[in-house]
Amino acid sequence: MSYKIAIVEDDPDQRHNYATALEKQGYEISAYADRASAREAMRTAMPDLVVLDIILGNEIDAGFQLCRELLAIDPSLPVLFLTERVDEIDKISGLRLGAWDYQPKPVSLGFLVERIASLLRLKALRDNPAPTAHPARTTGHLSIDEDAMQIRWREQLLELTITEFRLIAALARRPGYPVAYEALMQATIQQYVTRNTINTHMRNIRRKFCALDNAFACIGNEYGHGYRWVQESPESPQ
Amino acid sequence: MKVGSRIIGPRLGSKLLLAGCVLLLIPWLGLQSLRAMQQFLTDGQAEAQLLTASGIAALLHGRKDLFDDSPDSTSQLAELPLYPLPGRILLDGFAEDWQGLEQHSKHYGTAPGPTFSLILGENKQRIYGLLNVRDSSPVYRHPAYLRLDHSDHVRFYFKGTDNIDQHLLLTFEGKGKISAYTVDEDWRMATPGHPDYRLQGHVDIDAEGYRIEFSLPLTMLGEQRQLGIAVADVSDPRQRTITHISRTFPQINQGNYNRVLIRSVATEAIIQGLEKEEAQIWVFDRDLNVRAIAGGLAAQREDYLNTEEQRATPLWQSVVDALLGTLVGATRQRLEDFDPLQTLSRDDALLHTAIGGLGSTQRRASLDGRHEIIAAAQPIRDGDTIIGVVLIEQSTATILSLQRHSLQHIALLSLLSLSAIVIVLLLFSARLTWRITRLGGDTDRASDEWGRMQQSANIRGTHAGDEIGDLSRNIEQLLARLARYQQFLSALPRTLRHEINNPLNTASTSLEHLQTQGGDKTYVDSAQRGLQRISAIVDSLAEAASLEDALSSDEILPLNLSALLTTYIKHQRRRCNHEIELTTPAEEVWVQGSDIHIEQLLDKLLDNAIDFSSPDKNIEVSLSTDKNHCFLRLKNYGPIIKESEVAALFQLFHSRRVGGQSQSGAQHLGLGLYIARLICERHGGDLSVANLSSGDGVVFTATLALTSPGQK
Repeated sequence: MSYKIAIVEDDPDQRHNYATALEKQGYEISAYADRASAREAMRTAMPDLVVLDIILGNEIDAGFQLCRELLAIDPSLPVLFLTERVDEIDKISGLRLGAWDYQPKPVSLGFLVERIASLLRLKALRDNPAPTAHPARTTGHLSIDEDAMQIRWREQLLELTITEFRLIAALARRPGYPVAYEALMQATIQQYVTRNTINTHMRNIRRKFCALDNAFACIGNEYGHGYRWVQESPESPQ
Repeated sequence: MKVGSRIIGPRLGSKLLLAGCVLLLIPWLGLQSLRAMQQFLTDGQAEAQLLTASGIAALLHGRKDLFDDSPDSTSQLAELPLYPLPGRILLDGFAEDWQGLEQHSKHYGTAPGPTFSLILGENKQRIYGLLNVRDSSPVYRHPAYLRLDHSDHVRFYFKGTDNIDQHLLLTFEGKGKISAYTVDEDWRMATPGHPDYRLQGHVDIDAEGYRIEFSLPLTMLGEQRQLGIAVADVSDPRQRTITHISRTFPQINQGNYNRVLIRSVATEAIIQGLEKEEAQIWVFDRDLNVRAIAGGLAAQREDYLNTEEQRATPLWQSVVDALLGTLVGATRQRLEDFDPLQTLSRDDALLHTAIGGLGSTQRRASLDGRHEIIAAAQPIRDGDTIIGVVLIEQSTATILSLQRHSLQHIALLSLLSLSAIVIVLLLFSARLTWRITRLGGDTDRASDEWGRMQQSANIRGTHAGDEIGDLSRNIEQLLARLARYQQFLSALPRTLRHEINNPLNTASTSLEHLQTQGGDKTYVDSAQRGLQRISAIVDSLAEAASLEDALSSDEILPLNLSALLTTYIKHQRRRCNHEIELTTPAEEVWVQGSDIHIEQLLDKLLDNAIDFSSPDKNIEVSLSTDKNHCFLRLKNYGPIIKESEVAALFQLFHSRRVGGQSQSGAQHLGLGLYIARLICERHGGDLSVANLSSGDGVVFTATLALTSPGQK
């Protein structure tokens, strides 16, 4: 069966573009222009995934409100924010609400399709845990489950966005070796990425690790080049 | 005053002081009114004098008898002038106290007889005389001889109160006192046998002759006032016979001698009661001969011994006197207006006018030139004929001393009020200046050197009610409005980014559809690149605007700058076409900061250095420290920066790059150095640029604050 995806976007052109691109992938698309109609429609039929814009018409926080309402009904519903609000504070509040990912505009359709596919795959995996095809990769205390897109540090699960997952995965692929900004930019598979974006991501990732482990220092700056995964010192317990 | 190349006016305080100079008009006006007052008072005095003169003239009206001379015609008699003396004469044989009057002595006698000179004066009802006899071999009186004519002697002939001829003989036994005897007809024996003490005298003898000073009461002379003096010379001290006699009157005298020219005693008695201080009353007859004098312009001379004491005035007093003398002509000097020649007769135009029947006044300078004297003359009438003139002379000294006091008063008050006003003005202007300067300082501090408003501008003095208070409030409001506007401006790029992202997304997603539908890849790609550039521009703008926020939210940690720099340059060497030379100090350099932003700073500076470096030239990077700061220098060889461009270099949207393109092809909006400067400032330093002294390159110096040792 095809997944049902709801798109809430007040701009008709963008709404049409998203819908067209996703329909091509065989998803069943329902698109809404405002919070009221989306809310009304989804009360009866819950989609498998929701793509939300935050500003809808005159309501500047409509997306957040809708997200809260939907997650109240179905806490496991994957929500993807796709918005022009690129400020850090918005990103953080979106993710705190329980959204699975937060993508700033402009976004490439290819990226959107791929991102939605991985979210759905993740949702399926979480709904029906199946024996994984590939065992999780471990580097020191870091364990990366590519299929479930989950990362654990010292056995604890990190709450990461997909972009953050990809960045860590790219870093940990060759521990100890510097990874250039350019490689990291590609890893995000976002359309317009600057060094600053990478730096911001890295700072957020560090914060998340540090929340679990105060002594975390495995992400090292390679100034002028990029970042690298610093292997833990041998004497620390494996 | 000069500020930069502009000439500007004086400071506020100086202006107020200049304006305050108008106050100098006050003493000047005071002086003017004082002069007008002086004029008024002088006129008043002249009027009063004229009135007094007519009063006296009225008193003497019809008193023809006072102006009549003695009944018998004695006009043929030679006259002996009797000069009024300003003071008493000390009878010592010396001429000093005659004050030059002795030069008007009359000379008598011819050779071979004795020659002598005589001057007569009058003071306080006594006649004084100075007799100077030329006789190189005087023969003194011999005490053994009873006869008085056996030595040099002086004979006095006069008519006494009862018009009877009287003879007095003056003789001496050497230098010293002389003796006077009433003698018989033959001038041989003293009739009472004892000296006549009414006449006193003193003789002084020198090689040329002898000098006798004598005095006798005026009352000894009778109404006819006839007096004659003869000098008898005895040349042979053994024979002791009179060889010659010289007289002041002709030898054939028919019982008459010289007439003593004396003022009318009766008239003088009348006007004596009208005597005033510092005023002199004269009465003249028709021939302008002096008939009577009362009072005196100058104080009497008795106190001349004290003048030395009086002259010892303090210096400031003399300065004040000189100043006042210049301003109003007031002087404390004694009045000197005694001319002996005038005491007998005068020839003023004023008197002639009065003789003509017209009373008038006149002002003249005193004879010493230091005082002004007002003279008023009125004719004395007897029926229709004019028999004489009354003249009243008075100095303006009283007025001047009045004026002098007023002037001192005015000067003191002016000085006090002027200094009070000047002090108040100074204080006031200092206070104003201080407030304006404080306001200027506050306004200046409200924005930094790059024109950014401070978060909260602190303008003091907004509670004052005056115009400066208004100004302070206006500036406070203006700054608040500016701050709001600046907030709006800095929020603008972010708002813009939000707004642009939506259409950008529409265009970008539509392009993708176009591509999948088989649109021309070339155009789709170029359109995508265009969109990417717009996105980059919007991002850079937002970054520049919100860098402050980003920097303050960043974690500030101790940072090993030398290690960071080494790593950074190591990686950049691989990417860069230019050789990069790195010099770091031996010890580690630690700063407190955000590594990402320091990396960004290095990016911007290196990017700039590479863009302006001549091909095949090295880029030199060095790190050095002093006590509190470290200096990161990036040196590149290439075009230099114009002096005029330096200030603008670190401003927003300023780019040196032609067409905004760098060698790397990346877009440049003139944000790089602006952001670099912000980062330096955030790290407690600044960013500066200088051309190399060799003129073939540029060095940028980023200064960052070092971590203090305790913070490491």
